[in-house]
Amino acid sequence: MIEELDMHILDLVQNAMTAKSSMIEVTVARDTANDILTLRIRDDGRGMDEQTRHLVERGFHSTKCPKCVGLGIPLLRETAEHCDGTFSLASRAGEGTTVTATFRASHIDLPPFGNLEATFLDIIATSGQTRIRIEYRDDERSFELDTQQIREMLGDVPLQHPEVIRFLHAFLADRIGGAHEA
Amino acid sequence: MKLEDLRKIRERASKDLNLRKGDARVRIVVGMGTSGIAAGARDVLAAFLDEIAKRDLTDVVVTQTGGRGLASSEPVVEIHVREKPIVVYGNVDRDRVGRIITEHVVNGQAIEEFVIEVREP
Repeated sequence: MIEELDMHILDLVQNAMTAKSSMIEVTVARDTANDILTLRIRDDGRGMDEQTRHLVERGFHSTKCPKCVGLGIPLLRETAEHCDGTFSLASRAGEGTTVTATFRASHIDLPPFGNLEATFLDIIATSGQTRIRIEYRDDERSFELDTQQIREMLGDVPLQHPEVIRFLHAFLADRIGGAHEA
Repeated sequence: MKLEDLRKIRERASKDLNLRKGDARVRIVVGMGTSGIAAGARDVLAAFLDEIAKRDLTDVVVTQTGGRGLASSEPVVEIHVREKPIVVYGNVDRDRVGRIITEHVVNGQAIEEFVIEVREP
């Protein structure tokens, strides 16, 4: 159903938005020496109690919409474990949620990043009042992007001003252009 | 290329008389629930942002929602034009994004063949 790793990032960020987070941290780190790819999405939203966390992990539980089936988290877990990785969902009611998935970077079945630049652009441009921090690392490149920093520089100019979108496009292409192969 | 370049954009854009005040004329809502994402909502949202950048649209905003599921017609997009009924399009892809922007957002003509729902705001 979800065939690309960056789709999971979007899904988890959407979960964090739904949980009314004021800050969401997205980390993508590829460590070739240790053959590990890590995805982590941490938020300070409303979090879950232990019972809800169990329901979410089991699947078919969602509060996003009446027709949502609640399979995002179980699918990510299945992919991580299938790729010799780990999965953890840590949450506390009122404090936030952290989802961490790791994968063996060289695993033959590891899904690709379909379009990480578009994923980050989508997240930043539609962040609204939520602060987003993105951290990306691989062997050659690393960058951090914080919407609070961007907003400070932009003042009243909206994140979706055409010039800002063009800038973010160019910035992301410069930092992670070609980083689509997982 | 540095993040500080954004300050120059701010100086230029602040002088722009078209800089929107308050609500945008058109709001585009992309369904980003799990099934929407799986069906291609990432590229649809990015395509709308591309069109805004390419056509210099300063009166259009794109937002996302996880709260609407129409799994059989994903990706789903709503077009909210001020004081007009909300038009919902289904099975949106990059090509359809281009047509929606040209025909509906810019020229005000909904594209009937892609419409799956119309409702009052």
